[in-house]
Amino acid sequence: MKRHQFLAVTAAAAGSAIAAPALADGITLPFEPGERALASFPQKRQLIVLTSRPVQLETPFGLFDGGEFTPNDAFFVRWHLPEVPTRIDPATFRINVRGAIATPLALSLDDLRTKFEAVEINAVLECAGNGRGFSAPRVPGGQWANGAMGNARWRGARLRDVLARATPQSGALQVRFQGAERPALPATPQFLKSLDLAVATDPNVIIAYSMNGADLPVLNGFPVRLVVPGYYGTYWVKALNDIEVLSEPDQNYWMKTAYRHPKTPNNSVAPTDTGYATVPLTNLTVRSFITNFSDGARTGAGPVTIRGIAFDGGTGIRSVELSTDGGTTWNPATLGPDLGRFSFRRWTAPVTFTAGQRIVLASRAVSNAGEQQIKRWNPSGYERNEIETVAITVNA
Amino acid sequence: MKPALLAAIVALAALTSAVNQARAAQKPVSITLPAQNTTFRDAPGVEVARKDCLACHSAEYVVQQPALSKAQWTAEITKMRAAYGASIPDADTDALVAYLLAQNPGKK
Repeated sequence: MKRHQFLAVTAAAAGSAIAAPALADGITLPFEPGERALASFPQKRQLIVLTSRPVQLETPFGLFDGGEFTPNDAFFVRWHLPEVPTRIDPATFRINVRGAIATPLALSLDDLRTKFEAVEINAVLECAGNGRGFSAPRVPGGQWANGAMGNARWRGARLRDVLARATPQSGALQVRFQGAERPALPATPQFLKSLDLAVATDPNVIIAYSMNGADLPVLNGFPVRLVVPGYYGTYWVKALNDIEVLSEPDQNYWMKTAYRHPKTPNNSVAPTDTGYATVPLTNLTVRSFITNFSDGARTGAGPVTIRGIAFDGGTGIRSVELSTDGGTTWNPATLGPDLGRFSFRRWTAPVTFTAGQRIVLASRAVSNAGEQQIKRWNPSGYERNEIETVAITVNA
Repeated sequence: MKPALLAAIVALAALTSAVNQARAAQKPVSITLPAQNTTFRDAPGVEVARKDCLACHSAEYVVQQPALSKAQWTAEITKMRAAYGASIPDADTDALVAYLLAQNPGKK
């Protein structure tokens, strides 16, 4: 591993300001160019710096071996616009509900906590571009490895309950969300995302004010973010402060142009394909990962338990299999506790390593809907879910 | 460390953190973001790259890209201009593409 050091210069502001610790380090991801800084941003442990502006931080993959839930201070960060909120006053924060409704609302955090039933749900948040750096052929965009995901226990108020209080008009079609992030230039489109009304009123969709039993970190959207279990992170609008009910389909850039995938089988195309239709991406693809060995690791001979995680877009995991020969033969893994159909599901599989062996581990999951992990390609590097391999050398 | 002990420590830390944060939640919370540490490397066209790219995003977004072709870099510049409203003058395009190709070689 190539290492470099630098000093992250911070000015500790007065009062309750949370300043970044000073020392940072580096890591090299397994694609070119893979050099990344590791740095501790406010309320975060050392994470991989994708970009510092807008703030985008990746969870180092080994942290996923720690259990079903990703600690808040290790949770990945992906803002779209450079001006992210850095000072939030929970006492004056309001969520405005407006548009094609009968009763406009301006909800305080207290309103959200006290006037609506609190619900909890375990759900994976994954960036649609998670693993984009592994695309073959490579594609432009944020060059994430596989750490742009995490699982948390979210607590908040149902969006449907909030919408019910506002009473959508009969022609209501979609609900559009905006948070506190802002562009640097007036000409840059504001970050807006929309859900069809039927999705927005699903009882699992919540406005979350708690993450793993604590406040959300500022960089994960404090004081509230939208949680859309089973859907990609692009819809989980952070620092949510504006909800607009629409009676026409949303035509804004982030729905009409960005975050769309080919309307083709498996949403996959060949690099030479053109002229195909696209639609907004929605649900997570089924994935599985080995978490206690990393590619290129050396280990000792003898019996060992392979550990990993699996998840899908909201049907739950039916089965996981492990291969020790790069995917030629497969054996069933044992699934861990079921923490809900939107959650990470742990799995284990026993293997015995023989001295001097070179082993290629691979895992594959099948969802309760029968979805499998497949090789796919699209020009945005979205929805990667191919079978990942981990090559290991057993000491002689 | 024994898993049970580790779990207990993690649980205690989470509880402490939850209590602290719940208390803090009533007061304004502010964070100070660290300085940007990645810069564009010196080469012909670097001034154009600084002026046109860094207005909206840090240099990592550029230097971390894989080896892109001239057509791909040109498409990125067009996207920044057309989709994100970047004020990149047409006259800058050639110098910018040349710089971007040179700073991340591997493809022509």
